[in-house]
Amino acid sequence: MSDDSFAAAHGIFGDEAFTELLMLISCYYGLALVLNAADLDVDAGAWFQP
Amino acid sequence: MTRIAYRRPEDMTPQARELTLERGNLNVYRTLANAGKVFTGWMLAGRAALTSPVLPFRLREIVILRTAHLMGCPYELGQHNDVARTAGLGKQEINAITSESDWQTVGFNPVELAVLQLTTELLTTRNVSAAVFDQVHKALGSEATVEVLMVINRYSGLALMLNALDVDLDDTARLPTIPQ
Repeated sequence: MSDDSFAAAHGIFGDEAFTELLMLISCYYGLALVLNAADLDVDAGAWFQP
Repeated sequence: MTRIAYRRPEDMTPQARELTLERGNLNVYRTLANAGKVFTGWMLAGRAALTSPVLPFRLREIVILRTAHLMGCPYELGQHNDVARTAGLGKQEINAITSESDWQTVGFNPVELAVLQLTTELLTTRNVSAAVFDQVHKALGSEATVEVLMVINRYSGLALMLNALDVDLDDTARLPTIPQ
């Protein structure tokens, strides 16, 4: 991440929310690798309920 | 030079502080503790990954080092070059894992080679061929195969955070062995 991109995002979010944003990227980046490798089927009718 | 301040353990919740100190009070944890509402859950997931007896320590470190190399993460490489030695990996093996292709010829056993192939393929193409997946699955079984994928998951995602935050490698502190 360039200094400019970091400064822009960090300026908007601050330390806590910026770190949480990175945690989301981290979580879904890694999860996508697992899902692609396991080649599992999309659930026919069930959806994630936040 | 880290881009955001390290949290002091005394400023963390008791559980976050306990987990951070258990894992050596490393810069990585004191940085990610800035996300106070999700940090503890992330640490607990990591604890499970680091203490599970399903994957041999040596194989887990092979996956972590290969992931760190392919993700271009100096912090993970700095930590796990040393941790891998305690898992029984020799200097020549570590150098091979962190090279483009020397790992194919340095003398890893067939299971280690299959796992290295899976890790390399997944992180360079974002997918794995059926033949490579089946080779690992047949050798390790479902539980250990999923744990391998979870290790890749965790350390690839962590590498993105470490690189984005430019976390400094700890001078001497290294990830300790976590009691099960």
